[in-house]
Amino acid sequence: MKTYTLLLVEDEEGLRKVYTDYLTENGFDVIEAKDGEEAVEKAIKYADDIDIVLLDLMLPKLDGLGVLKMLRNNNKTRNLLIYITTVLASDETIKETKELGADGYMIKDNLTPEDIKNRIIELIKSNENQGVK
Amino acid sequence: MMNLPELRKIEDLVLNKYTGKEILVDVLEEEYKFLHKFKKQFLGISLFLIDSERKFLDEVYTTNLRKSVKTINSDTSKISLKISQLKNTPIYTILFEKEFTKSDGIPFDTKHIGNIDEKFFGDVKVTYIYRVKYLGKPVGILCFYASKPRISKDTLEVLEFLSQIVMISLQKIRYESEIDRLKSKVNYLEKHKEDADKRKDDFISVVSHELKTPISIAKNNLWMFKNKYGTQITNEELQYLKSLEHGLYRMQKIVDNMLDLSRIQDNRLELEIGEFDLYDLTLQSARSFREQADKKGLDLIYPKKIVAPIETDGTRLQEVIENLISNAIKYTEKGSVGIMIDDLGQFYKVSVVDTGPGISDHDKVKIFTKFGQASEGLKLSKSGESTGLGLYVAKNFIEQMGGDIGFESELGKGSTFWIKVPKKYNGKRKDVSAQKSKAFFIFSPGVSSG
Repeated sequence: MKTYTLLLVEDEEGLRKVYTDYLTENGFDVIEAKDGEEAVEKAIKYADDIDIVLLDLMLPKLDGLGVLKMLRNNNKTRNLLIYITTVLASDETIKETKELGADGYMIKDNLTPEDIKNRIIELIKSNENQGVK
Repeated sequence: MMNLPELRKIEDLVLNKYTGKEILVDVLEEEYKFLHKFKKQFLGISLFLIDSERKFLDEVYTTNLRKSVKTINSDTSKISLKISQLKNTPIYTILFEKEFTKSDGIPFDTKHIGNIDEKFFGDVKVTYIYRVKYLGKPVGILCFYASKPRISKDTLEVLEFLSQIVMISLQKIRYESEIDRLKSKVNYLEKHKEDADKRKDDFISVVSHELKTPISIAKNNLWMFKNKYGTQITNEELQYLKSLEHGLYRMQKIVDNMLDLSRIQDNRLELEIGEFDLYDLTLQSARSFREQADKKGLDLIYPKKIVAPIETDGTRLQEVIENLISNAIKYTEKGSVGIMIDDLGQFYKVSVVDTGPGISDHDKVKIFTKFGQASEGLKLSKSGESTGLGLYVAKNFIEQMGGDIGFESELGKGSTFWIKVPKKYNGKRKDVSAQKSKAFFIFSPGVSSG
């Protein structure tokens, strides 16, 4: 199974540990970030290795939308696959993330870690098929 | 006399056309035009209304023949006439030449009448004065100036009618300004209601999102635990986990219900319409209750297989069906709970039939209300759950889908709860700029729009 590298941005420790453990067991290398600033730092540092970013919106220091803006404005991270994972579900929020350049949106309330893993793989694969990376 | 078409026309103009502050002037112009044509002896009309301090009558209008222009004068020539002394009789006959006959002893200064004559009427011999009232109180006088001292009874009736019209005009002005005042009050209240709604909305949003996170953390950790150690767990240990899971499930449902309830109350509930198979949805819901039914020793009867395509809010429809099945199982101690689907042409009917104790007439009325919960003759199951919101929310969902919900029940014989849903959805659709399934979606496969 191919190994993908994922940047996990999630401030809730209880969730972060679950996702990291599960994804690691299922073939991912997981880089963790627990706030917005750390997310931008690590995204830039590991940009060449990262296959996908899982980005929560409600983060301390710099929120998800702020992270999204900064990553899209930076040459190194401009083309990273970014998947929003959040409990927020309003149309305005979804629209806003799309306008700021997110590649997808997951409302994580009703998704198990397995669901999230499957979605991530789906997004990465369809991106590869497009021949963008 | 009263049926003269011109008179009716003036009345109609006041009632249906004239509006705003100019009503009085417009009306009096029309009245003068008519009167002068009707009987040449009439040379003009004046209207005086009481001032705000209730001391004097101010001239509001006088026909101006020379200039043929309306005059609205509010502070020239005050008549020193004390309003409180105006009596009930509608007519005062005043002979010009600074003499007047009072029929009831009220002093009346004719200086003003002299001015009127100087203005334009060289020939005024008689002034017919009618008292103008508003809400039963005298507020002014209406004067008809005539060049002949004699007048027929019919003509008197016409003058009386004309003065009534003036009073109606006055009322209309007052009503219109009252309506404006109320309108601006309503606008103010509506604007502030919107602000209040936004604040309430934020509060509920914040609270429910705050709750969603810890619930999500708990659910995910529980899932991980089962995922990692599931094979090593004894059945007994598994039971504890199952209860934990169920507790979390209920918490999630309450949070979702809270949001839906606040949206329903504010008329902001938006359905997420999609294509589903009703049989699949119903079977899935029914299956999720198998264990609960087995534990109680109840027969759970699944619906017969049919192909049932439907266009509706599948998730919420499933919630409603699960609500009905859950209630049926909760309130039935022995026998069975059966779920049936009927194809009724334009609608489907899903029924949940139980062999429970039935619902008393007393409790029947409470069923779909916000906190109604049938309790008579029932022992609440040990889990004793239910905030009582379930059927109230269910009814709102189903009605918004264009359907109907109801039940039949008899004490001692069990109950049947049913829903009827249209096969095709015919209501308001959400205007979504991004496609939205319940859990996730991809904006544009693989291409970043940075």
